[in-house]
Amino acid sequence: MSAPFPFGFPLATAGYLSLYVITLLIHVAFMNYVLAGSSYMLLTSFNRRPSEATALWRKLLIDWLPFATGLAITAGVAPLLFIQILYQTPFYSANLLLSHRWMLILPVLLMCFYLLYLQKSKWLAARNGLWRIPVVLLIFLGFGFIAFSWTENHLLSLDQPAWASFYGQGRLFYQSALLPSRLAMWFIGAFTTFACLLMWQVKWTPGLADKVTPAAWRQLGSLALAGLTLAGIAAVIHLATIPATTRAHVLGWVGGPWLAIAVAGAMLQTTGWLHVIRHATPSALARTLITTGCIATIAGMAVVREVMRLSSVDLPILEAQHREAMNSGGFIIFLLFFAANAATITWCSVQVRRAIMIAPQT
Amino acid sequence: MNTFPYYPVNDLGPLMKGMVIGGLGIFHVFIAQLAIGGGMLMCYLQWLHSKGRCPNGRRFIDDYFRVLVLVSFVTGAVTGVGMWFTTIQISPRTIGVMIREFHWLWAIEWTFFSLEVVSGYLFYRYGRQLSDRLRLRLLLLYSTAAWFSLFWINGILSWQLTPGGWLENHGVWAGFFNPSFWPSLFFRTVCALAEAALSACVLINAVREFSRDEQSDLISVCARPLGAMVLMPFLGLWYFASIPADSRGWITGGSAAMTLFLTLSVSMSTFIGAYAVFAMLRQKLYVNGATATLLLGLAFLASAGGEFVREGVRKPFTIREYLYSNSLTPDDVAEMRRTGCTTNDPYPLRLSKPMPNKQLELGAHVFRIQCSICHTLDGANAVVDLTSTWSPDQKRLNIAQLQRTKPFMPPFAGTPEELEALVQLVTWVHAGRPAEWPESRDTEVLTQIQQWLDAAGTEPGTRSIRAQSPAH
Repeated sequence: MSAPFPFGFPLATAGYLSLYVITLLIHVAFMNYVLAGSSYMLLTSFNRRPSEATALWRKLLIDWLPFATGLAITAGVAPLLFIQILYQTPFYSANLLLSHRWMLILPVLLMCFYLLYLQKSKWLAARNGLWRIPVVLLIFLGFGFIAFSWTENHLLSLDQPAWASFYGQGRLFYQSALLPSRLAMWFIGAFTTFACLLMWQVKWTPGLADKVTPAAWRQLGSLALAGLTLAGIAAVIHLATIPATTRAHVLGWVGGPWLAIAVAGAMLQTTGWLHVIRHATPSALARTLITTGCIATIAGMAVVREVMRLSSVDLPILEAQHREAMNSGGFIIFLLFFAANAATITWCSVQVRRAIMIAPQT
Repeated sequence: MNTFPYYPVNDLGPLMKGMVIGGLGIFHVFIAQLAIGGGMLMCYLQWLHSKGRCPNGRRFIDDYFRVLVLVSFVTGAVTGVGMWFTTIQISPRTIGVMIREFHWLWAIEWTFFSLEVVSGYLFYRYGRQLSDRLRLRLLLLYSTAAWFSLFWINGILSWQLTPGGWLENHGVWAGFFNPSFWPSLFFRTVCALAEAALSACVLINAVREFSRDEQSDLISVCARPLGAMVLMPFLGLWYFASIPADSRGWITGGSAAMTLFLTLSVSMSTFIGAYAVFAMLRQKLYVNGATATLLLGLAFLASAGGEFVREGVRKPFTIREYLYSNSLTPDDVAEMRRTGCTTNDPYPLRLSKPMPNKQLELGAHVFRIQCSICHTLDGANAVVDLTSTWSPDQKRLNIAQLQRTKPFMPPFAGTPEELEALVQLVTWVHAGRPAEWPESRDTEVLTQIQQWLDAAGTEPGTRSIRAQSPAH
C-alpha cells in the first residue's frame, strides 16, 4: 500500500476494488437520494402550511422516492456481489455475528418500500397529518435503521479480534466509538447528493423547471451547503478517531490523493451552490461545478473508506482469493452484455422522454 | 493442512435452517416466475390489442401491470436480495463458492435485472401516454430481460445439482450449460407462463369495471398460455433423466418426504393442466374468482413441492461431488478425521445453561459444526427423534458409517472422541437431560468407533450406490 489506490495492488485485487468502488458510487447516489429524501419528508412534515418551495420538493419526492428506492436496491446488487469476492470472510462473518438483528433490514426495507407507495396513494393524501406523519416517520426510521445496520456491519467486519467474544456473548449490537461519526458523515453527506440529483431532475423533467421558484432553489442550495458543512465536520472527527496506523494510510500515498479529490469536490460543490443561492437558479456553470464536485466527493470518500478497510484486513490471504476468483470465466461476455444493456436502457429512456414531451400529460 | 473456513453458526431454535431458506426461496421463485410470465402475457395482450383482436387488452394491461410491477419490483427485488443474505446466514461457504465461480455471470444477470427494472418502471409510469408501438417495445424489453434473468440464475442453480464438466476443469461454461440446464430452463418458463395466466384470471375477476362478457373475453385470451402446460410431462421427464441416478432414487421411494412432495407437486400440476386444457381452453368455460384463486393456490403448492424436491435431491451435497450439505468438502472430511472438526474452530460454544461435563459440550460443538445446518437437536427434523430407537452402540455404528446408514447423509467428519461426544449428547437428551452425566472414556469403544470409521471411509454414500447400479 505505497501507491495511490488502486495502483500498488495486484491486478486481480485492483480490478475488483475498482469495480466495487464504481458500482458502489452508483448505489450511493440513489441511496443518498432515498436517505436524504425521506429525512426531508420527515423534517418538513410537521409544518402545517409549508412554503411553496417545500411543497414543490415534497411533491416531487413523494412521486419519485419509490422508484429511487427500487434503483438503489437494483444498483446495490452489483457492489454486494463484488464485496463478496473482495472481503468474503470478514463480510460473511459480520453478517453472521449480527444474525437476526442484521436480517431485520430485509423486512424493514420491504415495509419502507410499501410505505413509500402508500405515501404516494390518493388515500393517504386525503388524510390529515395524524395519518401522514406516522407513515413518514416510519419510513425515516426504517431507512435510518438500515443505514445504522450497514455502518455497524462494516465496522464489525473490520474488528476481527472481537468476533469470537462477540459471538460467545451472544451480543446483538456492536458498539464502536467510530460508529457515530461514520454514520453522521455518510448520512448528512447524503443531502449534497440529494440536492444535486434534484437539480438534474428539475432539468430533465419536462415542464418542471418553470415551476421551481427562486426560493426553492435557495432552499435546495442551503440544504446542500448545510449537508456539506456538517458532513465535513463529521469526517474530520472520524478521521481524528480512527487508529493512527489507519490514518497514516488514509493520509499517505494510497489514500491521500483521493482524500484531496474528495475535499476538492466539496469545494467545487460549495462554489456551485453559492452561485445557485446568489442567482436563485442553477446556471450551466453551477450545474457543472456541483455535479463534478459531487462525483469527486463521493468517489474520493468511497476510496478513503476502502483504504481504511484494506489497512485492517489480511491482504496476502485476500489477494490470493482474488487471484483465484479472477481465473473464473465470463468477464468478456459480461462486458458485452453490460454495454448492450446499458445502451438499451439509455435507448428506452430517450424514447420515452421524447414520447412524453410530444404527448399531452394524462 | 486444514483450510476449512470457520464461520459463526447461529441457532434458529426449533426451526430447521432449511425451512427458513426453503420458505423464502419458494416465495421468491414464485414471485419471480410470476413477473417473468406476466411480462410475456403483457406482450401478448398488447400485441393482440394493437391488431384489434383484444379491445380491452390495453385497459387491462394498465390495471394489471400496476399490480405486477408492485409485486415484482418490491417483493421480488427485496426477496432476491434476501435470498443472498439468507444463504449467507445458512451456508456462507456454499454461496462463497457460487460467487467465486460465477460472479461474472451473476454480474450479467444484474445488467438484465437493471434493464427489467428501468423498462418496467418506464412502462408503469408513462405507459398510458405512449403509442401502442412503443408500449409493445417496452414490454418486449421488459419480458426479455426478465426471462434472461431466469436464464442466468437457472444455470447457476442447476449447476449445484449437476455440475457436469465443471468437476473436471472448473470451466465456467462447462458448469453453466450443465446437464439439467435446458430442461430446467424450459420447465421454469412453462411454470412462469402458467402462474401468470392464473394470476391474470384472478385479477380479471377482481376488476369490477369489466362487464361479465368483457371478463369472459379477457379470460379466454389470458388462459391461452396455460396450453404450454402440456409440455410439462415431457420436460419433467427430460429433467428427471438429466439428474444423477441416486438423486432419482430419492424421489422414487428412496426418501419418503421427497417422494411425497414430488407426488403432490405432480398431482397438482396435472390437475391444473387438465382443467386448463379441457375446461378453459377446449370448452372455454368461464373461470370465476374462487376457482382461479384455488388454481393459483394449487400452482403455488406445486411450485413449493417442486422446489423442495429440487433442493432435496442434491443430498448429501450442496454442490454435487464438491461440497457437502454441511459445507465440508470431501478433503475436509478426510482431514477432520485426523485432526478433529472442533479443534480449530475459533468460536466458543454458546450455552443457555452449563452442561454436566466437557464431553457433552464437545458433543454440542460437533453437532453445531456438522449437523445443525439440516437438523435441530430436538426441534424440527431433530436428531434426537431420528435416533430415538437406537441403542448407544447403534448410534456409534450408524454415525460412524453415516453415509452407509443413509446415503443422502455426508460421512462423519471427526475423530472417534468427537463422535463419542456426539453420541453421549444425543443419549443425554434422550435421558431427559439429567443434571449428572458421567463421561464415557472407554478406550475399547473408541477403538471400535475408529474401526467403523475406517471401514466406511471418507467417500460419500452416493458413490457406493452408483457402483452397485448396472450402468457401472
